[in-house]
Amino acid sequence: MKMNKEPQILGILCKWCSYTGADLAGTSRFTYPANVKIVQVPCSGRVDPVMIFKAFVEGYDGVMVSGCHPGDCHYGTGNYHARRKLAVARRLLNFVGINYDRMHFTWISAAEGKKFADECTQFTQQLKDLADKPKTLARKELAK
Amino acid sequence: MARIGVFICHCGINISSTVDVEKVTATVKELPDVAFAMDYKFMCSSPGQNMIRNAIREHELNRIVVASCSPSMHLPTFQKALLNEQMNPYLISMANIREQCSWVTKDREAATQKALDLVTRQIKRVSHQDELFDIDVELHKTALVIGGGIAGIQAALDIADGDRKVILVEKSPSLGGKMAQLDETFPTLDCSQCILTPKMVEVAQHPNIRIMVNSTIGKVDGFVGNFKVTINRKATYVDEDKCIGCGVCQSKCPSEVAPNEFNAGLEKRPSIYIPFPQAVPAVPIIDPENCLKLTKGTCGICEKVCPAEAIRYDDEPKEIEVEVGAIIAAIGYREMNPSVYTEYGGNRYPDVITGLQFERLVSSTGPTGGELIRLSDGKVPRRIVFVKCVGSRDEDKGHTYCSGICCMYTAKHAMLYKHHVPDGDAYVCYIDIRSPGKSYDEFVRRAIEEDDVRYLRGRAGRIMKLKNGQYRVYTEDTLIGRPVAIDADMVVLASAVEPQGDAIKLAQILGISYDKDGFFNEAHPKLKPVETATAGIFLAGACQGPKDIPASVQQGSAAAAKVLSLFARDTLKKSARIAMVDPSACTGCLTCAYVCHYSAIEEADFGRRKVSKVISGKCQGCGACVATCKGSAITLAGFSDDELFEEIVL
Amino acid sequence: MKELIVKAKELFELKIIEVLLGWKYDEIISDVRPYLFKDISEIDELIYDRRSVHNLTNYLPNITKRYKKVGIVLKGCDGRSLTTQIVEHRINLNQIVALAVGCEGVDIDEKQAPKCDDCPTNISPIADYVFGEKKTATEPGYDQLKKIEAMTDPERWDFFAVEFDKCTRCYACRQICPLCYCELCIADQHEPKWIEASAKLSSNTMWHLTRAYHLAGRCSDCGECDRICPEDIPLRLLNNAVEKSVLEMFNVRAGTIPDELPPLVVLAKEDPDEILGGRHE
Repeated sequence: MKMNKEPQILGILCKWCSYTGADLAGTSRFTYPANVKIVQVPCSGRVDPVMIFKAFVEGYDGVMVSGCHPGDCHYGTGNYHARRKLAVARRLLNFVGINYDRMHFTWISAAEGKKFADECTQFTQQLKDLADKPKTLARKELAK
Repeated sequence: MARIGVFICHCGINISSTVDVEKVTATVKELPDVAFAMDYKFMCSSPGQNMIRNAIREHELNRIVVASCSPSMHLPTFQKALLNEQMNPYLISMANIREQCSWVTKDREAATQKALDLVTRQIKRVSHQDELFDIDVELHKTALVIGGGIAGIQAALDIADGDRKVILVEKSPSLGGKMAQLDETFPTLDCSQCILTPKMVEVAQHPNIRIMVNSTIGKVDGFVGNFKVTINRKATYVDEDKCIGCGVCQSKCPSEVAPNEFNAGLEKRPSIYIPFPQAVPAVPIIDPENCLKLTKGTCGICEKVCPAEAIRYDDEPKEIEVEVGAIIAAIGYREMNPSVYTEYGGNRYPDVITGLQFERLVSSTGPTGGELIRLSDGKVPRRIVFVKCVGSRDEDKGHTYCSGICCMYTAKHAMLYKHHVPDGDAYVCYIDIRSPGKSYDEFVRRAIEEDDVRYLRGRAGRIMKLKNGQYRVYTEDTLIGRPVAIDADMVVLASAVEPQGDAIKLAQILGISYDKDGFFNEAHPKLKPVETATAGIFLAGACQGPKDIPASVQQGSAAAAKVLSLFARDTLKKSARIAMVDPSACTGCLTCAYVCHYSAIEEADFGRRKVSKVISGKCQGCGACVATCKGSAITLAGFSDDELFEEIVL
Repeated sequence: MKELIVKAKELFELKIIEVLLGWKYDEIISDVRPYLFKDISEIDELIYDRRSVHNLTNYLPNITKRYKKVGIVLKGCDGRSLTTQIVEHRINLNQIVALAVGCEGVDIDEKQAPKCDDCPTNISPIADYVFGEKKTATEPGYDQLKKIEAMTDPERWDFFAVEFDKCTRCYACRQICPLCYCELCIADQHEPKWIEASAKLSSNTMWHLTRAYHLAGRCSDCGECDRICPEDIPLRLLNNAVEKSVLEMFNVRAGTIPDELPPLVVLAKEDPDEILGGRHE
């Protein structure tokens, strides 16, 4: 992956709520930094923490996962399962040295376009501010 | 060997003014497996689609990437182009370079770089996409309508007239909703009951409609065409088959303590009661919290006087399960309680009432028999003030939205007042007058010009109760720039339209989304007003947003049309993006089955082993099972690990 | 020990079990090793003592294919791994006769195994017969984790990068773990290749993170992976860190309650959202 001075953020968004919310940010013309690259999944429950591990190993500076608010999952209960998996993954990654601020797990509904834009802006700035930038398990750096 | 065609849309200038589409096109042309790349102003247009079709043929393309607006917009459009070339519609992927790129990125270079990045991901993804085939699912051609107000009634009648069966569920003891509480309706001043009651009777007599009152929805399982719904019918303590609707029970009931819901709490009602005379069905229910027999074991008069032996003190709540193919949510609205407006008396002044309460006062079936009198002392109000926008358009204490109906009904109320009290004074405190419908503006002008209702532009700041029993309304007339105080005998607050108290709970049961105010979300604000994001679940009426009777009727009919169109086929095409187990990799641990919300995974035999197996008809394609499987034994077509890997790892 | 042998003989005699998984002394290695006792005549050689460090449940899937009724000697940690294997339908409880010992700890290199310092359950939750005393559960202090937790984020990565770099991807940890039994291990998946085959830091990191995560709520801290690693990678650190977070967030310790679904399978609507957020404490 091309090593970039700009922080690279992977955003995994559930189709029904968060991805639609991100679309709403677009139709409302809320601007945010171009650092977030969005991948769509049907449900936050589809997100396997292995994808998040891979993202950090491949050099992403931050990972965002967003789904429907608890209680509102389009598929009923997917986000409850996601919540547990992501909570465990978050702490495991921090244990091996990934700063908590590199992992944003949120609930963004289809109506929360502004919230999505703000989240991306805030996250990007946070990553720029992080001092321990080299510790992102980047492949290129690891090939010493 | 993938031969990918990449089509980059300018979307007029929506994309091209920020993203250098020519540069992106030139760059992706060089990527591996890209056999063809072009850009064009409007990819979704007829010429645009023809370009795709021509390119497929000329360059023998077997995969397509369209970089344009959100797939939520036009994926089906482009899939049609593929189908027209006899190509499997699942061999396309879209890069969202408008809503998620050009529209949200200021800097041109950053936007172009991002667009290139997004298109590259989709190019990598699409070559790992396989042909998929939709499956046919049976569907039950019965509709469930939740809510027996005018929207639900209209929907039920339209579906039933279309020769399909309807189950109409209503929480209260009778159909009718808010419209039954209205006296005269704008802009015609039609008698509300007179136009509503025939429809209620039509519903009751329609052979295709099964009415279930005193019932709510407990649980909804399944999916479009195959919903399994549990309906909770509360204990009514009256056998509706035996009851003849004579009303003797309610006339003899000694326990009149509970507020009369139909009359907006303006008086008390007996503990066994028919909500209003024209109720459909005309069967009373017993209020278990205030009935002396049920709480204390005394009284029992209604049982003694009932000529039909219809009283059942031992009645129990029931759960009824039904199978339906489509659901329409039409639960209407509730009027906001203005108690938070302490500056208006906090709902404690007997003659400062809400719009719905005023409606009941002027109704002949109301607490005063239609006499417009003050509830405090029975005197006729000689001066009345109507305050609009109470709880609406108010960021601080109420709702930010406009309730849509108050300008019209306030004009109506003011006119009704003047018809009752011709020499009385009527004032309306307004910020705006919203009367957009057919004959609506003329109606308001009538109030002002013919009935001498005085409109003062200004927000009422305070209502103070005076010692003499009047109410001083402090407001202003901004058009002449002067504060105004009016001593009124009665004040009517146009209190906001809100979602019902159990709206969010129902939304969660149905699995549909709602907005920040609690109104149910339509699938698209412009083009899909009565559908939800959940296939098979539709909306009608004020539960989707404040609206008046004609708009509610329109939505009822629209939702019915959607249902009838759904029921027009014998089978439903179900998306092929469902899960599948590779039994040779499966250890039979069944954790996938445990996390499946739809119970769509069962245990099956594989040689001497037990493994998991997906029941395709039930699977909704969420992928929770795939994320749970550690051993890569289950995959989700369309969102497989393989496809997502290509999108994530560049 | 004596009661164990007496009972084992009785079970053979009454044909309640056909074989027994236990330990026997082996002269060649001057140590005890796992052994499948097939006849009552061998039972006098049955040993369970501080040298019985192995998790015998690892052998059950194969043994239960060949024999209908299998006896097994279980320590507390072994038993907790068995609970999870039964819930996951890996092993059929009906085929097992569990001889649970009141374990007082085992040794690695003649010193008490670190896992025993933190032992929360010294008797197997699956037990047909119990031999020995139940020790009151030690609240796992996770002392070894404290050293890591006290480091800053960059220091922690420096530490683990060194450890992961040692890995040769021999997969001994996976082979010896009774809960690593997938027919198609994610490390062997080709499409997609989440974990690349060669032993370099990036793919080693993927391997260890993935394995620790896959064991979340399932690992019983039998410690065998840590013991067996030929490169002395402190694997227990990772598994304990995950186990600790599961205990703190979900109040569950793997395998302690028979028939209970693992925490990452359970549907928990009431989890507080705080488990997803919050900054580093």
